[in-house]
Amino acid sequence: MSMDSKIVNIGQSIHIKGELTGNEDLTIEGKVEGKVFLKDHNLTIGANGKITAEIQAKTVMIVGEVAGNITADDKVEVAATGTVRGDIQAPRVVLADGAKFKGAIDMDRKPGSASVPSPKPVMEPVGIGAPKGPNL
Amino acid sequence: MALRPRAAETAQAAAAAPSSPAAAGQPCGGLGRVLARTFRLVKPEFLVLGPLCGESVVYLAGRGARVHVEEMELPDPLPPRRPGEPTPPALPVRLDQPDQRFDLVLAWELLDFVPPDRLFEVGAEIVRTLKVGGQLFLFAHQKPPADTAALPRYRILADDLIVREETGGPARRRYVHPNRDIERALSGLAVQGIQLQRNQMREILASKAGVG
Repeated sequence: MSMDSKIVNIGQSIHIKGELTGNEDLTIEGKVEGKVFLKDHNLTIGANGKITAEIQAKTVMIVGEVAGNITADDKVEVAATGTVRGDIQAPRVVLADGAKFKGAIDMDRKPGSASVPSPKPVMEPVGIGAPKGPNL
Repeated sequence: MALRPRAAETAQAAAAAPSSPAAAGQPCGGLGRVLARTFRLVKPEFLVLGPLCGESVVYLAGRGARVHVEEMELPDPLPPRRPGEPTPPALPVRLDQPDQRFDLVLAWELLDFVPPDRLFEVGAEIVRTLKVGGQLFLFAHQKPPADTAALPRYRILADDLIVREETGGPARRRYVHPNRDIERALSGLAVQGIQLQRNQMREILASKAGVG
Protein backbone atom coordinates (compact mmCIF):
# COMPACT_ATOMS: atom_id res chain seq x y z
CA MET A 1 0.00 0.00 0.00
CA SER A 2 1.42 3.37 -0.94
CA MET A 3 1.75 6.18 1.56
CA ASP A 4 -0.88 8.18 -0.32
CA SER A 5 -3.56 5.57 0.17
CA LYS A 6 -3.13 5.23 3.91
CA ILE A 7 -6.04 6.32 6.01
CA VAL A 8 -5.46 7.13 9.63
CA ASN A 9 -8.25 6.77 12.12
CA ILE A 10 -8.89 8.66 15.29
CA GLY A 11 -10.96 6.27 17.31
CA GLN A 12 -14.19 6.86 19.12
CA SER A 13 -12.59 7.09 22.56
CA ILE A 14 -9.98 9.67 21.52
CA HIS A 15 -10.43 13.32 22.50
CA ILE A 16 -7.99 15.84 21.05
CA LYS A 17 -7.66 19.51 21.94
CA GLY A 18 -5.38 21.67 19.83
CA GLU A 19 -4.17 21.83 16.26
CA LEU A 20 -4.25 18.71 14.14
CA THR A 21 -2.14 18.72 10.95
CA GLY A 22 -0.98 15.99 8.64
CA ASN A 23 -0.16 14.72 5.17
CA GLU A 24 -2.40 11.69 5.11
CA ASP A 25 -6.09 11.05 4.74
CA LEU A 26 -7.82 10.98 8.08
CA THR A 27 -11.02 9.61 9.51
CA ILE A 28 -12.18 10.98 12.84
CA GLU A 29 -14.58 9.01 14.96
CA GLY A 30 -13.65 10.71 18.21
CA LYS A 31 -13.77 14.30 19.45
CA VAL A 32 -11.56 17.11 18.25
CA GLU A 33 -11.52 20.70 19.48
CA GLY A 34 -9.30 23.33 17.92
CA LYS A 35 -8.10 23.25 14.30
CA VAL A 36 -7.74 20.53 11.67
CA PHE A 37 -5.48 21.15 8.67
CA LEU A 38 -5.01 18.40 6.08
CA LYS A 39 -3.65 20.15 3.03
CA ASP A 40 -4.10 18.04 -0.11
CA HIS A 41 -5.73 15.24 1.82
CA ASN A 42 -9.17 13.93 2.59
CA LEU A 43 -10.91 14.23 5.92
CA THR A 44 -13.87 12.14 6.96
CA ILE A 45 -15.87 12.90 10.06
CA GLY A 46 -17.36 9.54 10.91
CA ALA A 47 -20.78 8.88 12.36
CA ASN A 48 -19.43 9.11 15.88
CA GLY A 49 -17.14 12.04 15.21
CA LYS A 50 -17.76 15.34 16.97
CA ILE A 51 -15.61 18.21 15.82
CA THR A 52 -15.54 21.70 17.25
CA ALA A 53 -12.89 23.17 15.03
CA GLU A 54 -11.92 25.15 12.00
CA ILE A 55 -11.29 22.63 9.21
CA GLN A 56 -9.16 22.92 6.08
CA ALA A 57 -8.59 19.98 3.74
CA LYS A 58 -8.79 18.88 0.14
CA THR A 59 -12.10 17.13 0.63
CA VAL A 60 -14.26 16.91 3.72
CA MET A 61 -16.95 14.27 4.21
CA ILE A 62 -19.23 14.75 7.21
CA VAL A 63 -21.29 11.91 8.54
CA GLY A 64 -21.09 13.03 12.17
CA GLU A 65 -21.12 16.51 13.71
CA VAL A 66 -19.09 19.62 13.03
CA ALA A 67 -19.27 23.02 14.70
CA GLY A 68 -16.91 25.39 12.92
CA ASN A 69 -16.06 26.76 9.52
CA ILE A 70 -15.00 24.33 6.80
CA THR A 71 -12.78 25.18 3.84
CA ALA A 72 -11.98 22.60 1.18
CA ASP A 73 -9.91 22.93 -1.99
CA ASP A 74 -12.08 20.42 -3.78
CA LYS A 75 -15.31 19.29 -2.14
CA VAL A 76 -17.39 19.25 1.02
CA GLU A 77 -20.07 16.62 1.36
CA VAL A 78 -22.56 16.45 4.22
CA ALA A 79 -24.35 13.11 4.47
CA ALA A 80 -27.98 12.80 5.49
CA THR A 81 -26.89 11.97 9.03
CA GLY A 82 -24.41 14.84 9.17
CA THR A 83 -24.74 18.02 11.19
CA VAL A 84 -22.85 21.22 10.44
CA ARG A 85 -23.02 24.52 12.30
CA GLY A 86 -20.68 26.83 10.48
CA ASP A 87 -19.82 28.20 7.08
CA ILE A 88 -18.72 26.02 4.18
CA GLN A 89 -16.40 27.24 1.46
CA ALA A 90 -15.54 24.88 -1.37
CA PRO A 91 -15.85 24.80 -5.16
CA ARG A 92 -18.06 21.72 -4.90
CA VAL A 93 -20.62 21.10 -2.16
CA VAL A 94 -23.06 18.27 -1.66
CA LEU A 95 -25.74 18.58 1.02
CA ALA A 96 -27.93 15.53 1.39
CA ASP A 97 -31.56 16.04 2.22
CA GLY A 98 -32.01 15.27 5.87
CA ALA A 99 -28.66 16.75 6.85
CA LYS A 100 -28.70 19.43 9.53
CA PHE A 101 -27.01 22.61 8.43
CA LYS A 102 -26.93 26.11 9.81
CA GLY A 103 -24.53 28.50 8.23
CA ALA A 104 -23.56 29.82 4.84
CA ILE A 105 -22.28 28.20 1.67
CA ASP A 106 -19.82 29.91 -0.62
CA MET A 107 -18.68 28.09 -3.73
CA ASP A 108 -16.23 30.71 -4.92
CA ARG A 109 -12.67 29.51 -4.67
CA LYS A 110 -11.38 32.74 -3.22
CA PRO A 111 -13.25 34.53 -0.48
CA GLY A 112 -14.77 37.77 -1.66
CA SER A 113 -14.00 37.16 -5.32
CA ALA A 114 -16.57 38.38 -7.79
CA SER A 115 -18.82 35.76 -9.25
CA VAL A 116 -19.79 35.40 -12.84
CA PRO A 117 -23.43 34.42 -13.10
CA SER A 118 -23.98 31.46 -15.31
CA PRO A 119 -26.27 31.88 -18.28
CA LYS A 120 -29.98 31.47 -17.88
CA PRO A 121 -30.98 27.83 -18.15
CA VAL A 122 -31.92 26.69 -21.59
CA MET A 123 -34.40 24.15 -20.32
CA GLU A 124 -38.01 25.04 -20.78
CA PRO A 125 -40.40 24.39 -17.89
CA VAL A 126 -42.04 21.04 -18.36
CA GLY A 127 -45.31 19.42 -17.60
CA ILE A 128 -48.02 20.25 -15.27
CA GLY A 129 -47.18 23.56 -13.74
CA ALA A 130 -49.99 25.88 -13.00
CA PRO A 131 -50.29 28.92 -15.19
CA LYS A 132 -50.56 32.23 -13.43
CA GLY A 133 -53.95 33.39 -12.38
CA PRO A 134 -55.20 36.91 -12.00
CA ASN A 135 -53.73 39.32 -9.53
CA LEU A 136 -55.52 39.36 -6.24
CA MET B 1 -10.85 26.39 -12.24
CA ALA B 2 -13.77 26.14 -9.91
CA LEU B 3 -16.27 23.43 -10.75
CA ARG B 4 -19.54 25.23 -10.57
CA PRO B 5 -22.80 23.54 -11.53
CA ARG B 6 -24.47 25.53 -14.25
CA ALA B 7 -28.15 26.19 -14.06
CA ALA B 8 -28.75 24.62 -17.44
CA GLU B 9 -26.67 21.57 -16.60
CA THR B 10 -28.55 21.06 -13.37
CA ALA B 11 -31.91 21.33 -15.06
CA GLN B 12 -30.91 19.09 -17.96
CA ALA B 13 -29.51 16.47 -15.64
CA ALA B 14 -32.70 16.53 -13.62
CA ALA B 15 -34.82 16.17 -16.72
CA ALA B 16 -32.68 13.36 -18.06
CA ALA B 17 -32.95 11.19 -14.97
CA PRO B 18 -35.89 8.77 -15.31
CA SER B 19 -36.86 9.02 -11.66
CA SER B 20 -36.23 12.73 -11.55
CA PRO B 21 -38.67 14.94 -9.71
CA ALA B 22 -38.50 17.23 -12.73
CA ALA B 23 -41.47 15.34 -14.09
CA ALA B 24 -43.47 17.06 -11.37
CA GLY B 25 -41.64 20.34 -11.80
CA GLN B 26 -43.70 23.45 -11.59
CA PRO B 27 -42.82 26.61 -13.48
CA CYS B 28 -42.32 29.54 -11.15
CA GLY B 29 -41.94 32.71 -13.12
CA GLY B 30 -41.87 34.87 -10.00
CA LEU B 31 -38.83 33.09 -8.66
CA GLY B 32 -37.19 33.34 -12.06
CA ARG B 33 -37.71 37.07 -12.13
CA VAL B 34 -36.48 37.68 -8.60
CA LEU B 35 -33.38 35.53 -9.16
CA ALA B 36 -32.64 37.30 -12.43
CA ARG B 37 -32.73 40.63 -10.61
CA THR B 38 -30.70 39.44 -7.67
CA PHE B 39 -27.99 37.73 -9.69
CA ARG B 40 -27.17 41.05 -11.30
CA LEU B 41 -25.52 41.90 -7.99
CA VAL B 42 -21.99 40.86 -7.23
CA LYS B 43 -22.00 38.06 -4.70
CA PRO B 44 -25.56 38.49 -3.44
CA GLU B 45 -26.41 37.19 0.02
CA PHE B 46 -29.39 34.84 0.25
CA LEU B 47 -31.24 33.48 3.25
CA VAL B 48 -33.18 30.28 2.72
CA LEU B 49 -35.71 29.48 5.43
CA GLY B 50 -37.45 26.21 6.05
CA PRO B 51 -36.45 22.56 5.73
CA LEU B 52 -33.06 22.14 4.11
CA CYS B 53 -33.01 21.17 0.47
CA GLY B 54 -29.35 20.70 -0.23
CA GLU B 55 -29.82 20.67 -3.98
CA SER B 56 -31.48 24.09 -3.91
CA VAL B 57 -28.82 25.61 -1.69
CA VAL B 58 -26.02 24.26 -3.85
CA TYR B 59 -27.84 25.41 -6.98
CA LEU B 60 -28.04 28.99 -5.70
CA ALA B 61 -24.47 28.96 -4.39
CA GLY B 62 -23.30 27.57 -7.70
CA ARG B 63 -24.93 30.51 -9.46
CA GLY B 64 -22.75 32.86 -7.44
CA ALA B 65 -24.69 33.66 -4.27
CA ARG B 66 -23.51 33.26 -0.73
CA VAL B 67 -26.36 31.20 0.67
CA HIS B 68 -27.28 31.13 4.34
CA VAL B 69 -29.57 28.47 5.68
CA GLU B 70 -31.71 28.66 8.79
CA GLU B 71 -34.58 26.52 9.96
CA MET B 72 -36.53 29.12 11.87
CA GLU B 73 -38.20 27.88 15.01
CA LEU B 74 -41.88 28.41 14.40
CA PRO B 75 -43.67 30.21 17.23
CA ASP B 76 -46.66 28.82 19.04
CA PRO B 77 -49.81 30.93 19.43
CA LEU B 78 -49.71 33.36 22.32
CA PRO B 79 -51.20 31.82 25.46
CA PRO B 80 -54.66 33.15 26.29
CA ARG B 81 -54.73 36.20 28.49
CA ARG B 82 -56.99 36.10 31.53
CA PRO B 83 -58.80 39.23 32.62
CA GLY B 84 -56.89 41.19 35.22
CA GLU B 85 -53.67 39.28 34.68
CA PRO B 86 -50.61 40.40 32.72
CA THR B 87 -49.95 38.98 29.28
CA PRO B 88 -48.28 35.58 29.68
CA PRO B 89 -44.73 35.47 28.42
CA ALA B 90 -44.00 33.84 25.09
CA LEU B 91 -40.71 32.85 23.52
CA PRO B 92 -39.60 35.66 21.23
CA VAL B 93 -39.33 35.06 17.51
CA ARG B 94 -35.73 35.36 16.44
CA LEU B 95 -33.69 34.77 13.32
CA ASP B 96 -30.06 34.23 14.23
CA GLN B 97 -28.87 36.68 11.57
CA PRO B 98 -27.58 40.26 11.64
CA ASP B 99 -29.56 43.29 10.51
CA GLN B 100 -29.75 44.20 6.82
CA ARG B 101 -27.59 41.38 5.56
CA PHE B 102 -29.59 39.76 2.77
CA ASP B 103 -30.40 40.66 -0.82
CA LEU B 104 -33.00 37.91 -0.99
CA VAL B 105 -34.94 35.89 1.55
CA LEU B 106 -36.71 32.76 0.32
CA ALA B 107 -39.36 32.01 2.91
CA TRP B 108 -41.33 29.51 0.82
CA GLU B 109 -44.46 28.58 2.85
CA LEU B 110 -43.14 29.62 6.24
CA LEU B 111 -45.85 32.18 7.03
CA ASP B 112 -48.59 29.60 6.55
CA PHE B 113 -47.36 27.89 9.71
CA VAL B 114 -47.22 31.02 11.83
CA PRO B 115 -50.23 31.75 14.07
CA PRO B 116 -51.98 35.01 13.22
CA ASP B 117 -51.03 36.58 16.56
CA ARG B 118 -47.31 35.96 15.86
CA LEU B 119 -47.33 36.91 12.19
CA PHE B 120 -46.15 40.45 12.85
CA GLU B 121 -43.14 39.23 14.87
CA VAL B 122 -42.02 36.84 12.14
CA GLY B 123 -42.55 39.48 9.46
CA ALA B 124 -40.53 42.01 11.45
CA GLU B 125 -37.65 39.55 11.81
CA ILE B 126 -37.54 38.91 8.08
CA VAL B 127 -37.71 42.62 7.33
CA ARG B 128 -34.90 43.28 9.82
CA THR B 129 -32.52 40.93 8.01
CA LEU B 130 -33.15 42.37 4.53
CA LYS B 131 -30.93 45.05 3.04
CA VAL B 132 -32.56 48.14 1.63
CA GLY B 133 -33.61 47.04 -1.82
CA GLY B 134 -33.55 43.40 -0.71
CA GLN B 135 -36.37 41.13 -1.77
CA LEU B 136 -38.60 38.58 -0.11
CA PHE B 137 -40.17 35.70 -2.00
CA LEU B 138 -42.78 33.48 -0.41
CA PHE B 139 -45.84 31.38 -0.99
CA ALA B 140 -49.09 31.48 0.97
CA HIS B 141 -51.86 28.99 0.46
CA GLN B 142 -55.33 30.32 -0.26
CA LYS B 143 -57.16 27.04 0.34
CA PRO B 144 -54.88 24.44 1.89
CA PRO B 145 -56.05 20.85 1.48
CA ALA B 146 -55.69 20.14 5.22
CA ASP B 147 -55.56 22.10 8.47
CA THR B 148 -52.27 20.51 9.43
CA ALA B 149 -49.17 19.70 7.42
CA ALA B 150 -45.43 19.47 7.69
CA LEU B 151 -43.44 22.38 6.37
CA PRO B 152 -42.60 21.37 2.79
CA ARG B 153 -39.25 21.46 1.08
CA TYR B 154 -38.68 23.28 -2.22
CA ARG B 155 -36.25 21.90 -4.74
CA ILE B 156 -35.00 24.41 -7.30
CA LEU B 157 -34.34 22.70 -10.62
CA ALA B 158 -33.78 25.89 -12.59
CA ASP B 159 -34.29 29.58 -11.93
CA ASP B 160 -37.96 29.29 -12.83
CA LEU B 161 -38.64 25.63 -12.17
CA ILE B 162 -39.30 24.18 -8.73
CA VAL B 163 -40.61 21.05 -7.08
CA ARG B 164 -42.59 21.10 -3.86
CA GLU B 165 -41.86 18.08 -1.71
CA GLU B 166 -43.51 16.81 1.42
CA THR B 167 -41.13 16.17 4.29
CA GLY B 168 -41.42 13.73 7.12
CA GLY B 169 -41.36 16.57 9.63
CA PRO B 170 -43.90 17.06 12.39
CA ALA B 171 -47.36 18.16 11.30
CA ARG B 172 -48.26 21.66 12.40
CA ARG B 173 -51.38 23.76 12.24
CA ARG B 174 -51.65 25.61 8.97
CA TYR B 175 -53.21 29.06 8.78
CA VAL B 176 -54.65 31.05 5.91
CA HIS B 177 -53.59 34.67 6.29
CA PRO B 178 -55.46 37.28 4.25
CA ASN B 179 -53.34 39.38 1.93
CA ARG B 180 -53.83 42.47 4.07
CA ASP B 181 -52.51 40.68 7.18
CA ILE B 182 -49.43 39.54 5.33
CA GLU B 183 -48.84 43.03 3.99
CA ARG B 184 -49.21 44.49 7.49
CA ALA B 185 -46.83 41.88 8.93
CA LEU B 186 -44.27 42.86 6.32
CA SER B 187 -44.34 46.49 7.32
CA GLY B 188 -41.29 48.15 5.79
CA LEU B 189 -41.56 46.12 2.62
CA ALA B 190 -43.38 47.18 -0.51
CA VAL B 191 -45.37 44.28 -1.89
CA GLN B 192 -44.52 44.11 -5.57
CA GLY B 193 -47.09 41.53 -6.49
CA ILE B 194 -49.38 38.81 -5.26
CA GLN B 195 -50.34 36.25 -7.84
CA LEU B 196 -52.81 33.48 -7.31
CA GLN B 197 -51.90 30.30 -9.08
CA ARG B 198 -54.24 27.58 -10.23
CA ASN B 199 -53.19 25.40 -7.31
CA GLN B 200 -54.54 28.11 -4.97
CA MET B 201 -51.07 29.11 -3.89
CA ARG B 202 -50.34 32.82 -3.69
CA GLU B 203 -46.91 33.81 -4.90
CA ILE B 204 -45.81 36.94 -3.06
CA LEU B 205 -42.87 39.18 -3.88
CA ALA B 206 -41.92 42.17 -1.77
CA SER B 207 -38.91 44.43 -1.54
CA LYS B 208 -37.51 46.62 1.17
CA ALA B 209 -37.94 50.27 0.42
CA GLY B 210 -35.23 52.77 1.10
CA VAL B 211 -35.47 55.30 3.90
CA GLY B 212 -36.53 58.73 2.84
